Amino acid sequence: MKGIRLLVGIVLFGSIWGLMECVLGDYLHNAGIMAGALMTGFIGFGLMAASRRIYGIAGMQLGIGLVAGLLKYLHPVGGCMLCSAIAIACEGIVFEIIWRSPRVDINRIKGLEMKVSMGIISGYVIYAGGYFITHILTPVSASAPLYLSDLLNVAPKILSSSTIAGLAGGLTLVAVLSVPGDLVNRIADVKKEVYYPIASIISVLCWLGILVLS
Amino acid sequence: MKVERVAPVVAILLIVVGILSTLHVQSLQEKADGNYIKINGNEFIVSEFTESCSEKEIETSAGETYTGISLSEMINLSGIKNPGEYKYEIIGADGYSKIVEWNHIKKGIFSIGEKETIFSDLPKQFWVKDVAEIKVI
Repeated sequence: MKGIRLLVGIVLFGSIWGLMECVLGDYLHNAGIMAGALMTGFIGFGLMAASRRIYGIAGMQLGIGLVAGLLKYLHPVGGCMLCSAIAIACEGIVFEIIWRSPRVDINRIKGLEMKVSMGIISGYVIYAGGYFITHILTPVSASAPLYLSDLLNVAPKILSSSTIAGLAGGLTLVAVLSVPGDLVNRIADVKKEVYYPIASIISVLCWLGILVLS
Repeated sequence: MKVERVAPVVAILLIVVGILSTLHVQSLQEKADGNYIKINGNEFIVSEFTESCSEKEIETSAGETYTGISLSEMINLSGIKNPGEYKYEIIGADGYSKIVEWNHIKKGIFSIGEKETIFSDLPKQFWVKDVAEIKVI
């Protein structure tokens, strides 16, 4: 039963992220604001960090990234849907790598300095990782040419824009960890009679929102 | 080594790398002159292209339609012989660059307004904004 609870949580958080990417991400992209870095630093990382805090299960964020990436791919408006979808899916993988060690348990991080530092590291590396990986996988999956020099030339731009994601990540982790532990526990232990219907309704509403926007 | 000691150092290092990269990108943008594009070593005024190249409309796989001038005609203006034998590195003012082959160039357009290359058969990752140079390689 715990497996189904986690699966529903993955779909829920992934759907919220996917909808936010399609609505807010596209809006920021069209407005010429650094959509990718802001969305990753505040929304993507925020949702993954919150879900890790609530459920405390490693591996879940990989699924959340995949669901969000899939929903972004199904929403053919705005920026590069294939590039963005691959980047979002990969951001979940990078999150798992950073937060894999038991020594960086999100629920045991103490001190503002450590919270800000881990947030900066997470936001920066997740965004840069997703950006680099999509520059390799997009040409491969679209049967387009892939050159190492392209990757090297785009590196300064990636490392530059990741700074915003890093700073956003610092703020986001402090915000996520400022939620009192007992409130997090109450959300985590919510009764199945409430959890499943609410999670399902929110997820379906997110998908409908994406369909309406497409 | 304790994570509490390493994490702040790594975070500061990443921010420093980010700031240095931003300065590098900005220095490239300052060097680029928005009115000119260098193709195969020759400088062209952007407005020249509208007079010398035909307008073309393309549709992407997502069903979006774009209008611009023919990218292949633009490259031919540089006087290159046998263009199909080369690859083309399209470089943006911020240093972003993509290498594309002639068969993609033939399906591409150049949007004068955004100074952007658009391809109907390549992902948007290959579209370069604010083009500063097209190198023949």
